[in-house]
Amino acid sequence: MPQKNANASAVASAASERELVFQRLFDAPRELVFEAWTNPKHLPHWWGPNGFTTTIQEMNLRPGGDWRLTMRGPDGREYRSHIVFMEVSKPSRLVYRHESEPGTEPVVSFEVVVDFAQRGLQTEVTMRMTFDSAEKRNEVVEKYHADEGGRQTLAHLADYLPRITEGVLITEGEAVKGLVLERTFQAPRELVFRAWTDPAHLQRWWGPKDFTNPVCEFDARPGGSILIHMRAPNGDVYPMKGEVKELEAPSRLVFTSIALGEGGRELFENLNEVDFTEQSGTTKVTLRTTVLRATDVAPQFLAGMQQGWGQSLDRLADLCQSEANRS
Amino acid sequence: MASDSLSNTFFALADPTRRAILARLADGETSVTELAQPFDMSMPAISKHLKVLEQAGLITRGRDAQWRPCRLDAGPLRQVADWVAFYRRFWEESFERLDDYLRELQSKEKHAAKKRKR
Repeated sequence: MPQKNANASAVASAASERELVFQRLFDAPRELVFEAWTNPKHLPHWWGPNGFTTTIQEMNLRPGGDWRLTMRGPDGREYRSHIVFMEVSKPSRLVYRHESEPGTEPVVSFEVVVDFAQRGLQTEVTMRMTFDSAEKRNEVVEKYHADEGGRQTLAHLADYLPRITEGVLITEGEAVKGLVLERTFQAPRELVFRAWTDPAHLQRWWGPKDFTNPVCEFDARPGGSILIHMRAPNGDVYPMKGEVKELEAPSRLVFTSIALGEGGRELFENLNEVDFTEQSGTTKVTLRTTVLRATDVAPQFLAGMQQGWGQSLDRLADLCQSEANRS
Repeated sequence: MASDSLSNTFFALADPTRRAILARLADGETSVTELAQPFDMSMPAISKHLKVLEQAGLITRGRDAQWRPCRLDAGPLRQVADWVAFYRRFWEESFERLDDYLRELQSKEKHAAKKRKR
């Protein structure tokens, strides 16, 4: 990833004699990086040094929860770990204690603090491993190249992040605030931005599969109004209105969207912040959608939408299942 | 985790029978007997599902021992779960379509310019 070296530094420094510290800047919001680190579905795709494969036996993401994983090296040798979470502060911090499973070399235990800090559209991850003694730290560096391994692992994470295209929850303390999604499109930024702000384009892709937009108005200027009538495959129409709050072509678009019920009644309002980042001819879109306000009739509306989507409950089931597995 | 209550909600929704129960309750409150009818399940099995839904705050049940109607609780938990499910799907699928659309646009442009890049 030579192109990433310019803005990312992976340094293993001996801040203290018992420590190994890794730091790297990732081109993704921290909710997404935290998700990659804590969802057993994602972990095997990036965890471990070059040539290693990782399997997750269990992962209970809560203080006191167990996390067991096996790394298999290029030579077929297995490294089994038992990790216990001490702190889980989504999406900013993880603290866990790492022990080798009996019979696994090297016999080593250390504590890990991972901090996820949002830096604009990027996330700075600082991973601090503290060993029981300087000797142990030196042993894993000299015999097992833990410093190089850590750097490689974070590089794998950087490579993997763009592959997470699912929506990730934005939480604040106990409350769910919204979702963040990221996706890289094989198109120049100007074109992607136009696809969002020109109604003739917007009409062609807005909404789930097989939905159409018989009405699609988008006045692309700050204060401009938005009106979209989205039609489900079963013929149900879902009107939405909104307002453009910010428009900085071709890098940022912020707009509100208000779902409308019977007689134009406002059901709930979302704020949508869309950032467009150019990456060597491709464009990464980062979308944060959060709830600004909701009325008490919003739930019925949402439940009704689900029905209009036909098979959507099956998909909801998958989502629920994956969430349930993690809790 | 987001919150234990939200996790409960997701757990409760993870079961197809429980989702079907919720869909039925969306039409209005009903008795357990009535609720059990469409399902080939024993009353204790249905009661177990109802208990999960109740604990997740997705349904409430009347006090009367004889007639304990179940009703959907349009509480904030449900709202959050539905909103999340709704917008996850909305945006994931919209992005999928945008991806297709951008490819289509560019291939058209290439044709129009009669450029042949591979």
